[in-house]
Amino acid sequence: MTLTELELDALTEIFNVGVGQAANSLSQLAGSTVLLNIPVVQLLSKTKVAQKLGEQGAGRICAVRQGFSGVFNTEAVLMFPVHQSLQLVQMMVGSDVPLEQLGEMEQEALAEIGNILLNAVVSGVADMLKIEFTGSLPQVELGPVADVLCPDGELEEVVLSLQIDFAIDALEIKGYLVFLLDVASVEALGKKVTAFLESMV
Amino acid sequence: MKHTLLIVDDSKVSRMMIRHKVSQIEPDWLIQEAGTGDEAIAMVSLNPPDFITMDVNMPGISGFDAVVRIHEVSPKTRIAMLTANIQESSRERAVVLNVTFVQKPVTEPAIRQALDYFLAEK
Repeated sequence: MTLTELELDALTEIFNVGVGQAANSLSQLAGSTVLLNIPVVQLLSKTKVAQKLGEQGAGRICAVRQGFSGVFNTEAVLMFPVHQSLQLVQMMVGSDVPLEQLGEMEQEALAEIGNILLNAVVSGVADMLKIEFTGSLPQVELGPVADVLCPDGELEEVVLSLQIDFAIDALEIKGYLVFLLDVASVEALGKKVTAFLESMV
Repeated sequence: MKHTLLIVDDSKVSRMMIRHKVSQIEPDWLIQEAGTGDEAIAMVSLNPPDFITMDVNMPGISGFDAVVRIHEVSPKTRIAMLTANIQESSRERAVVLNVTFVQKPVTEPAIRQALDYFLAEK
């Protein structure tokens, strides 16, 4: 499974459009500036992805996982440090909701935040590549990065990893967004990227 | 005038936010909620609301499929798709179904966009 430098560069650009839409949605939710890096697109083993995230301080995390199927399939995982999840929920529902009630709706609110952000990125990609995705329902998970990324235990499986670090300025929340694609999906994606590149010549 | 609104969304938090923001702008409206498209169709069949906000990605039938069925039962009900699925294909489907498209997150401008559509002269 390989992608040329030009294809990886095109993918970075394509995902960048989606990430920009997600940043816009997140800043509307937070009422604050959202800082994002340019996505890093790499072919890595799941273990390596977990290791890299661990090195950046993402140990035990709260994650929203959502599958998207279409011409190719991808699993998108949005991750935050566990201790920041309540802050995120409060950001979404507003500060007038009591803390006890926040705990009750924490999972629901996180699922909805994930739903909005992951759909924003995937929609950007779909529109750029002129394809359509159907999303599964978002699922909230809690645990170490490796467990969330590799629930099936296939740690050495090589995946296309697209990692985005972002920070919500006023709240000092740092999060990670990873898209995982298996071999067949990377091949299908490669064809779409080639078509995308050819359309610009 | 007391209008009726049905909020269709599988996320309880989303329903809560929509209800809260609509009530702030239109405190007199009667608001009901449904967690799935099927539940919404059943509710509309019994008592058609004036307006509906409809999510797309829900357990069971999709919001778009629910709209088709609701139009058969209650063609006059005005519907706004209120969804995170902002793909061009979704927006196009909304045009075909003759409903408006409002992008999540549920912010005040988003709710105002839906309400403006609901209350616009035909």
